[in-house]
Amino acid sequence: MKGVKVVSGKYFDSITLMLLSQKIAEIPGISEASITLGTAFHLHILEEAGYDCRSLSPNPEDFLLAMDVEGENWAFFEQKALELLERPAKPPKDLSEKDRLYTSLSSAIVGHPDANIVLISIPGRYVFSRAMEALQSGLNVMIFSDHVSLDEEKKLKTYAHEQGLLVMGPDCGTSIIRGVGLGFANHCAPAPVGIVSASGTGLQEVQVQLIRRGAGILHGIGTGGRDVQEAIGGITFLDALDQMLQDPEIEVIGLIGKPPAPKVWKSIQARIDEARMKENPKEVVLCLIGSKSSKDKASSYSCADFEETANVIAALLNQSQSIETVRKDLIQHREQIKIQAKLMGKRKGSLRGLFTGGTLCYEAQLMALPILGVVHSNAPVDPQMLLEDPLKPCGHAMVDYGDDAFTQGKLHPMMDPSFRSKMMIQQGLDPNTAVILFDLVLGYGCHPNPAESLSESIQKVKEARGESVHIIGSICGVEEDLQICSKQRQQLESAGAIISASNAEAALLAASLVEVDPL
Amino acid sequence: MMNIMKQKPVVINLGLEVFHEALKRQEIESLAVHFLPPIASEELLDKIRRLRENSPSKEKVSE
Repeated sequence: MKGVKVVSGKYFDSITLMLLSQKIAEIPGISEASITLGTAFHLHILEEAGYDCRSLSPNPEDFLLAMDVEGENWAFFEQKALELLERPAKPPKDLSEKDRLYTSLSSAIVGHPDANIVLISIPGRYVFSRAMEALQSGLNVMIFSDHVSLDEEKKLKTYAHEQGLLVMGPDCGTSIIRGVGLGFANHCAPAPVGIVSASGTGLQEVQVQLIRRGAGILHGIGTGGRDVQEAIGGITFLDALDQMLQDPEIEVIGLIGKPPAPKVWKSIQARIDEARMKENPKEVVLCLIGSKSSKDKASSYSCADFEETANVIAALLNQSQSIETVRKDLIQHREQIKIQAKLMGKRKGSLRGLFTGGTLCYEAQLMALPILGVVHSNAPVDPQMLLEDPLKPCGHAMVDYGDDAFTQGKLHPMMDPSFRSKMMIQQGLDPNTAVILFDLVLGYGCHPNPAESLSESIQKVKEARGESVHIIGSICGVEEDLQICSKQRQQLESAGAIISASNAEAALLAASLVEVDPL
Repeated sequence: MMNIMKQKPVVINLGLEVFHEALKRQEIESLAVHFLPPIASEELLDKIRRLRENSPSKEKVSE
């Protein structure tokens, strides 16, 4: 029996929510349990999963306790679950004085005068005052949280700029400072490379590709995706670029993100041009993903995807191959992928992408569009290709499960892969699906074994559909990551997935495997 | 001007403990602040903060 209870007047962070959901699901007699925020989108997700939510009208701050229980005595299990919710939080573990948990930001700032960054991951509505407090105390800020208003972002960044500080984010998933990863970050291998990125998974993918080529990154400053919009004016992007241009440890600078607003782009270009006039200028590699106008200039190299960006940066560092040769090799390699698709056998039907990384989803759409013509998404390349309901993709479609609507009051799918794994089964069993494409992001902050639940889903799909569906993925991770890249790969391949060397290659292979009707 | 890229990060982590643990694994100094939403509204906290900023003791307001 399925039921939903609205729980009011409580606060749980998203990790506690996941752990509570797991604990409740472990109660004998409960086969499925989830606790989510009472947003309209989460109600919609529950309804799609067969829960009757018609009589419910929760506030967005309420929680929805949904359970599928044995028999008809839902109230008995509700009582058991509510008892778990009432239990006080566990006291801090046996912590040393240095590790002790502070109960307020103010006391932590006072108690730790050496701190230089505050990393904030709390609900968006509480971020502004804490971030401003940190800045006023002379600290840089990285804001992982989303749901911070544009106006608040502008105020924080303007103040930080005046004080010579940086605000990374809001919605900044990844930063790397002196080879140390903050937020979602892969194992770092420092090299004389600095990246300024308006895309978290874009930064991770370039870093991973560089490490696989024997290089790495010293600094990767995440700005948050909105920073390069006109309303913010690229404040953090430009400040970070200025610092990297002056940094003697940096030889090559990468600039990553979706195309900035024209005014912001003009300011970026002016800085690159000015730096080019100096003695021993730094090389600059641009990956403004989806940009139609960017071309190589004397002062910079322009790349279309993250793999090409890593190839060009590595070539500039090594100075062993010309950029022209590197690019020619990549084009040839990608022609081979198209031949590989023919040999594997194309399938009739739709391509369905299931992503945890927003910019990886965007990059995959850009790779697939020239082959498939139209690819719908909840984060589309073209607003006309907006997916009406991300829970019910139709036609060629790619869904970003890390999108704000999915993560409000819920863990990001890189931390909790369970929902994406469920959707893998739903999409894979759809007879219209010909090819499934996915990403798997490893590193600090991510789930300790994300391939486990995904592999189970892949196996179920392959058992039901056999060779009528291809499942193609890529792993954004390295061997030194906690999850160990080769172990993740092995699980996915054993289940029947084909793993490509990069997100761009996976998307190209997946799109090439779809039988496209001739016009 | 404080150039963040010149110093090894020393972090105050406000929120998800998983990020604090990740920094510890990288042998980076990190302090965890356990966040609970304030009982008072943001507006009231702002008022209190302004009052205290103008008071001689300049006592800070915590969440």
